[in-house]
Amino acid sequence: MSSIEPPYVLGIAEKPQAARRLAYALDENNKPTIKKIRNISIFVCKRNSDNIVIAPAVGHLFTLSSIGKTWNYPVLDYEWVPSHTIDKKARTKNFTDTFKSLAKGAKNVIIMTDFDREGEVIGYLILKYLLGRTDAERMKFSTLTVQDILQAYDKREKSLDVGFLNSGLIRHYVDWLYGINYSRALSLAIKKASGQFKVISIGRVQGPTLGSVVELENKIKKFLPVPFWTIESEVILGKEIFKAFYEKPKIETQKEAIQIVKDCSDLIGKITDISEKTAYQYPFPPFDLGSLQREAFRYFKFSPSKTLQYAENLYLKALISYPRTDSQKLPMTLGHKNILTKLSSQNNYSIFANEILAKKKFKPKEGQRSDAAHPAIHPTGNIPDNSLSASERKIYDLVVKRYLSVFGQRAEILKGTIEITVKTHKFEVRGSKIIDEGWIRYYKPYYSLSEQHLPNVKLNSEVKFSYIDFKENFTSPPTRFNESSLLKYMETEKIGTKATRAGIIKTLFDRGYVEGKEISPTPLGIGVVDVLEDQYPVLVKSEMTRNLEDIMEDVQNKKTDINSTIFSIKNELKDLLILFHKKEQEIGKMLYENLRLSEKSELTVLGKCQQCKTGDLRIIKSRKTGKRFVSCSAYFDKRIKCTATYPLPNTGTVKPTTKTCPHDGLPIIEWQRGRRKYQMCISPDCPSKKEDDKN
Amino acid sequence: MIKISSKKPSICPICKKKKENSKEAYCKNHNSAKKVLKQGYESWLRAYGSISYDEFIKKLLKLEGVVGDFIKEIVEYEFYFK
Repeated sequence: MSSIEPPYVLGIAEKPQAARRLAYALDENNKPTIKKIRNISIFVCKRNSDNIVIAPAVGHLFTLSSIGKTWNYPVLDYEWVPSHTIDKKARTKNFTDTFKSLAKGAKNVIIMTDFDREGEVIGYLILKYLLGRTDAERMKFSTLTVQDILQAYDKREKSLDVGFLNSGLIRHYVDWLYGINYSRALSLAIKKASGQFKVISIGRVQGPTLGSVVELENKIKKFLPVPFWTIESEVILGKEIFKAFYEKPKIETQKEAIQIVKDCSDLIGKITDISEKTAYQYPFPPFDLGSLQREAFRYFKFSPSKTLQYAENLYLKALISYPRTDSQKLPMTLGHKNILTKLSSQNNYSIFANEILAKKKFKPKEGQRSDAAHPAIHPTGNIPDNSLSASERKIYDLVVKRYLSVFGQRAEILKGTIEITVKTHKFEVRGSKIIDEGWIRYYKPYYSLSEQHLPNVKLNSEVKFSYIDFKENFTSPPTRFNESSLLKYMETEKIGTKATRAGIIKTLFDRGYVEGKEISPTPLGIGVVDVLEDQYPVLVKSEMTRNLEDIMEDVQNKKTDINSTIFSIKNELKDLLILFHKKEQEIGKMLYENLRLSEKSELTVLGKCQQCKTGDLRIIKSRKTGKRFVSCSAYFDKRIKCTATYPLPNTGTVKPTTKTCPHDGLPIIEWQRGRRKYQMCISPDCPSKKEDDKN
Repeated sequence: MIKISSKKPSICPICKKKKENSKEAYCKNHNSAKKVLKQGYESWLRAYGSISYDEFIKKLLKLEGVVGDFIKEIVEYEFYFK
């Protein structure tokens, strides 16, 4: 039972830090009483004549679980259960119990979670399963500043946002249905075909994302470069040398390239045109989540999931607005004058903020995209304290500078071109001069312009080339995705949502389907996609997930009803699973073969076995103990059954080298632990090791 | 359970994956790489005016980091192992 005097208004916050901010803002004296229930801090505030008790969740306290115990498919019936009953690592039990204990004394409930789909679902599930209610009042805010919280409290809605709630719920149902059914179907297919059990997980969004990575990898692996030529030339203008660009950037035949150089062999040209024009560059739109993640990756090399995490921390510290937004809009109602005034008191931004404030009118440049719930990401103007990490500080600076830049004037650049003609061939020398940097001043160092001043030259005057030659080039293969470009691709292809994309990419890494900064699929990822593309393409193509997104969007916009939508999705899934079942044996067999091949290709071969002279010495990781050792591949050959094994250090990384030991002819490995690298023979009895011991 | 057939399995000699069609020389990926290689030679012929197939292959193998793995595997298999 709670020790808090009833009756009270119960506020549900999404996280402990948010609960604290809400409580300090809502309490009339900004001094809420802090009580502990099951070691969770609960805040009691006084506002008007009400006692408001604010209790935190810690994200989702509930998760979906199948009804029924059999491990089979299709699974179409589910129920919400407390997360801690399914995942023993989830530290949610105390939070769940706290809400239960506060249920009885609550005369009224206000949902104070983040205003988005997930926030609505978190609040609704606590309301329904822990407080025994179906509706509550709703506070909607985009920042955790005192001003926004008080405004959200005063203007709170009388009930939940049904559109958001249903859209959030249907996403959970659909992701769960597809995830559990296909993961079970694939795992069972392997078991039926091979007798071995191996969990293969795939999701509605994961599948097409992985499919796209594999498709690109296949394009790269099938890429054949084609030659082309470029003309490289430099001219002397005044006393300086300038690069001259030939009229055709790419020459397709060697013959033509040779002819051009031959025609220009005198190295003398004539200026046939001088032109100048003013170009304008306008500020980039304000940050939505995707563009913030891309910019942070470009400049700081932060992964999208890390950027989101840092941005959420800044939001919880009331330094920036809610980051999970698609919006590129900054309406005037946000109070830009107030934000800029606050920013003017921060040393790093004072000059630019004051400069903007000094203008009579200031209106931010906005982008096309909008979001029903939140504006674009912007600073609140609050001064950061010393608790910010170095990475959070970087994201904060990026957000503030982008915000300032949208109030800046367009940049003005004078672009000059000098055209030089040699016989029938035309070359161009290009230069640029910044007239007004405009908004770029505010956004430095994240964007800058370079200048190339051109000298004064006269029309029809003669120009000398310092050299002209052709260069053989080859076309390049497509570039692999990095986390930023994959995120952009998912956005364009409408795979996933702003809130889930970074997490999906992380899951692909965690499950061992992809690897590397330049993302490439692992043999496991390729093996799974190869089979599915061949036998069951719906899981690795983006059409299905895109259609589902549209259907779920209709639920959010209240165009369709959630129950009938989920009913038809279940029916469609059932049909798809029947089709899968028909191909189960074939899929299982192919998947098993591909997995075996992928496991083989992941094996590290060190060299030939010196004992049997037939097998390969390979690094093996014991499934039982997790320890690694070297063994001979001929152990599995009944005629040889070579038992050669060698121990390996179980810490650090072990890499093969091409060297062999002069003492026993066994392979030499490179062992790296921390910064130290050692090269040694794999045999513990090698004389080289005894020599080392003596030394 | 997988039955072990006495017949020689129809697998790609390069990657050991199952061939789509046993009459084809390679698996799906290596087959299409072979087609790309053939078309590529025509493009190179147009670009250089004249180049022998052997010279084309030699040049291709010298190019580092741009030639696709499937293409390289086909070239190496056909020119070194066959």
